[in-house]
Amino acid sequence: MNADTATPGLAEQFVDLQQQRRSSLAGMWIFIATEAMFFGGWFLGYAVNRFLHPEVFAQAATHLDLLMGSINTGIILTSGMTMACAEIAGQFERRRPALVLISVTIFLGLVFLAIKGYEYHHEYTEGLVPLAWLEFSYDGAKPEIAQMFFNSYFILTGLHALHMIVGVGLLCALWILVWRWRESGRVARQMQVIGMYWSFIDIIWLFIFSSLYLLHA
Amino acid sequence: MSPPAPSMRKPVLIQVFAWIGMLTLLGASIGLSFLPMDSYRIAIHLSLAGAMAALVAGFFMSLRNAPLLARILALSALIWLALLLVYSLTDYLSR
Repeated sequence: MNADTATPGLAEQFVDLQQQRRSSLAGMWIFIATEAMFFGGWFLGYAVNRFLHPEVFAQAATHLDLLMGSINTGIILTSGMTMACAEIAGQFERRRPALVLISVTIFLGLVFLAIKGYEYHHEYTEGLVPLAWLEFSYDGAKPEIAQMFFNSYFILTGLHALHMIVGVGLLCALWILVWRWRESGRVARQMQVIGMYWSFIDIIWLFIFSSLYLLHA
Repeated sequence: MSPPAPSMRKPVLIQVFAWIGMLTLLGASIGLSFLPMDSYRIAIHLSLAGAMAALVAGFFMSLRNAPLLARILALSALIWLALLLVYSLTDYLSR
């Protein structure tokens, strides 16, 4: 055992804490790249169908709740800011502000999910959920094409909501880690990695909102 | 006498200004969505979304201060995604 392995928070495969931090950042960016490709495929499917049926898709988009989508976009951007500030608090070893900011981020994430749930309920009552055992009732032109729009909408927003739920779970775990505050460097690194995941979810939502909600007739 | 504790005011203010910039772009994007639909509007919305995403990556994900390896990996993600989207859509857009 060399002297460096005795550094608090340093795993044995790393030379120093800086190398460990760089490795965790690199690993997280590789993970984000795979996630970007995963969502990219779904966005591609949507883009192709939108290109083939522009009028029907633009008309179908008017059935989405633009106000709720806009509020949710503001909420998710605000949660990204509070998480970024929590990371700064972690770097400055300010435990209490970090805990408050993580709590606010969790709250905003839950509000986002609640609003999304409200939207889903509204779409369910209007008969716009394209599931095999539900009747799809659409009052506009070419309902069979419009159904493809709602397929993309529910897949993209559903996968995003699933990532949000995982993100809220990670933030709750992070809150406990910050509350315990074992090693400053380790806590700051954990905050940075989870913060990157949370910001990535923000980015995905920005493109969902811009390509589904805003491209209405 | 111990030195004064470093203030986190400046880095927090930078994030707050970035957030205000994002909300401004969001407001502009929502406002423009009430213009008549055409291909220019699609380009504008996607450009504004890209600008907001760049702000999120640069400030909230700290990419502007990230080590070179992290920047290269982020750029690689963007390139792979661009290859997927551009090569696939070129077929449809050129018909």
